[in-house]
Amino acid sequence: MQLSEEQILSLAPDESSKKNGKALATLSKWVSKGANERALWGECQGSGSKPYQTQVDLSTTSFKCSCPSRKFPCKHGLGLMLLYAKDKLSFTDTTMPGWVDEWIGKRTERQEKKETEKEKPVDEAAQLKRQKAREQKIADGLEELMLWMKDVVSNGIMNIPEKGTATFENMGRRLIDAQAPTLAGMVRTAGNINFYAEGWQSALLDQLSRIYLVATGYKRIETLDPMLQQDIRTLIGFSQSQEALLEQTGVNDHWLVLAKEVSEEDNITTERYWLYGLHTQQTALVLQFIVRGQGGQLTLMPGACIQAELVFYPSVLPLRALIKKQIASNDTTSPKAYKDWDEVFEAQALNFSKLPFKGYSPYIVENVRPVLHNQQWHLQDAKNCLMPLKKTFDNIWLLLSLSGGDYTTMCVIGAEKTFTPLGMWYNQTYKAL
Amino acid sequence: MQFWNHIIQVASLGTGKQQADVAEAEESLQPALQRINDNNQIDHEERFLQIVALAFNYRQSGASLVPDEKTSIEIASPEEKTYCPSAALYLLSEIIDAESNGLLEIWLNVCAGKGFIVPPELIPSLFDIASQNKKLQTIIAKCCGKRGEWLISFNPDWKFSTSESDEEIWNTGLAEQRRLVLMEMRTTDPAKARQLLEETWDKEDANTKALFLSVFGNGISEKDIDFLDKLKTEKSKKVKELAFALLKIIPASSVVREYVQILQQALQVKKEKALLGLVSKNVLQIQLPQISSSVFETGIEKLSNVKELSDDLFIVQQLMAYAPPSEIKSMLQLSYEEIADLFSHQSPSLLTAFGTAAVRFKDLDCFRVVVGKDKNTFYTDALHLLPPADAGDYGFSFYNSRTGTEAVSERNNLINAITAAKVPLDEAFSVAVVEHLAGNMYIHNRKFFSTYIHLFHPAMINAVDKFQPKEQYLQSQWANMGDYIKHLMQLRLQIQSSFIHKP
Repeated sequence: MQLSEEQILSLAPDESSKKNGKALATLSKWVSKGANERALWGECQGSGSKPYQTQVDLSTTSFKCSCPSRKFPCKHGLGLMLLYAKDKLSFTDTTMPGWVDEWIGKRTERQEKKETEKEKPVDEAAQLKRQKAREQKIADGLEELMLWMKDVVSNGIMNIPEKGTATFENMGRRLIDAQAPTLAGMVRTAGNINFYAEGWQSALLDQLSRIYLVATGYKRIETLDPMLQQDIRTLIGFSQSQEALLEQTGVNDHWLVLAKEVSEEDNITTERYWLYGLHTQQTALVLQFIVRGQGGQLTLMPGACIQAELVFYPSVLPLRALIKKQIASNDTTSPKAYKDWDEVFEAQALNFSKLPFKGYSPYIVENVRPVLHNQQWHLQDAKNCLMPLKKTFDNIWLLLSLSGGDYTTMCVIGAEKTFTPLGMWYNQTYKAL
Repeated sequence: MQFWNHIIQVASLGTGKQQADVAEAEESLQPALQRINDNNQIDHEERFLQIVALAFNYRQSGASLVPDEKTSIEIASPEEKTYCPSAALYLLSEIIDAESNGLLEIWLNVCAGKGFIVPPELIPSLFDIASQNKKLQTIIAKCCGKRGEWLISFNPDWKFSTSESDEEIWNTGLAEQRRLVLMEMRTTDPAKARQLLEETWDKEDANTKALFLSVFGNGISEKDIDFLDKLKTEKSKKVKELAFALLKIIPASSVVREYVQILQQALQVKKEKALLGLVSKNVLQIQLPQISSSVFETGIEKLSNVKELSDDLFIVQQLMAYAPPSEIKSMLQLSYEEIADLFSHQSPSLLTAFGTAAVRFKDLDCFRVVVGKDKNTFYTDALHLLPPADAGDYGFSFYNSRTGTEAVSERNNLINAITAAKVPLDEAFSVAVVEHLAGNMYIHNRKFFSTYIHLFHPAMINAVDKFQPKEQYLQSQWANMGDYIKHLMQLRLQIQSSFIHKP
């Protein structure tokens, strides 16, 4: 797999790791090093007496290092990959040493075990009993949620900023007890709205609408389309068995990695990878949750392309997916883009008609360019319609520099009438912003 | 949108006080809203929640934009130059990471010299660097081509601009920007610079005046005397002192003329017999005339604070430092060698003052003679006067001559002076400096090497491994520093070759 420096650096957890990784991308730092089609390894002399053993599984871009760093990947992993990208020919050793062989062997074994492991026989009666108990708990929780929401609208939302977030946190906790964790998260999201920013009332009503739709949808779930039932169950907090999903046939395509979004809460890092199927024109969201101090299994680089089979979670609008198999790809097929903002709005309306409480999604739109209007940056389409960019978007200068004021194809993410650019096509190549 | 605003209004007050009015909604939405309102099986709070949910979806599904024909953007002009080869760009990112502005400046100069420009994705980060490093602004702007010219006008943080004329910046810029314009113009067109300063002088405050005078020494000549003479009556003491300091470096100024005149009256050389009358030698006689109090207002001190130095000799020494050596030469009717001999035997402090004057009035012949006799003084300003190679030799010879307890600090000071003057160090000097720094690790940090790596000889790479601190606990730190130094030097050595296009 040939990775560019830019792509490797996008894996770094922070700026200092990028810098330190680059400093280690010199031959003199590595006591030994080698590479073959499966793995990349090296021993880096650190401050300790023994060199750190760093290894990368190239099939999944997974890292392991004997250094004590809690960052993932650590600077040694990044440095080794950067050195490999810069000076591949110096990696003359192709025979994996024992410590690499052992790690790769275990990984292969685990993978095979996963694939062959048969499900243990399930006690169906006990399972049914648990399920009924949970459904009852959820029903009770939703009753309380409805009462709470009615209380909110009856008393008026004007005083909510003064009351603070306690009311949302308490309701969220009650829903956790009711085993509806995702819905609890939706309530907490409502409490996280900036009540001192202009337009908070509209944002709060939007979120209350979504919560209401999910809650009432669950109450009459039997009457809904089976796929919509899945969406509702997911938003309540029923989990899907990933193993079962991975057994299904997925969508094969060459997937362009549009962007990687990282957020951290309660010591858990959430990585959101947005992918776009170059031939199916399907958008996908792959999530990875990493507990602090542990490494993630998945590393995708924005701007890179992978040939992969993706299994989508069942939904009326399939978006979230799991990667079943992946290999690197050099496919440079142009994306099928929306012609202007009107087409984006049409697609959006169609999606909302299927799933009214859906979140934001990426859209690829052609012939747009950045323009300044009323001291705010917008993306102007060929019909001169101006789409305001989210005020938090901080890469406007790079976007502007790459565009040169000319129309280009861009990938934006958002909903309704506020979008953030994720990347753009520059000289036929996708550049993540 | 109107109905949504109505909903916000109702929600703000609460359904306990107000109900949503369906008639406020768009016509197409009314039948559905009416069905909700007619549902008596649910309470009015839930009816409101349903109305909100419906209106929310109506709004988010019906987003639209109105074309705006007036808003546009000018398209950047096409580039006339070629983008850098990828190897050079890779090196540039390494140099930026190493935070070496010294190397960055070399890279940018090679880039501009070879007629290349950087691609658009690098322009914003280079402009960010330029906004923090004024010295690099012009060269960065040059390397960013037409796209950079176009982009710069959009970001107010990138206030530097190549499109504004010097006059425009002088009239509208910040004090620091104006100082840079003045400094530059004093080198290229001193008369015009003086004219600009005179035009706005009365409107400036004392601090700004002092700021501008601090760069007025560039290109100074007797044509500046009239302007500087007028500043002798300035209210600000600081401005007045700066004006005098400037007048004191113009041989034709009244201040220097007066100093020379006093020296002419004070100094006399007489021949005396020595060695039983076999040889004659020159003897300097000092007899100060009555000195006007105005002379002491120009910064000359009356009393010596050194016991061995008389007040008269102290005054003469100060005057000597501001007297052009050629005038002392004709005054005493002696060659530079004879004067240096005379001073070194009779009054070494006068020799130092004579050397200082040689540097100040850029008299290279006189300076070379003085340096031959005065081994204890390092004339820092001479580093700017001598040709670079000679300046390096001068620095190295002084560096080698330092011994004793003060040697470490003297060598440190010299390293600082020589690097600040941007004097390139030859192989031997570079190796000697590395040896010194390995033994005195904490004095010069990574920042020092990242700033001045371009002044060192590549031979320093080997010297880094050859020398190390005596203290064991410092050796691993020196090894890290050494890696950094070698990395910087390797980057520097690759700059030229990275710009060669490979097929």
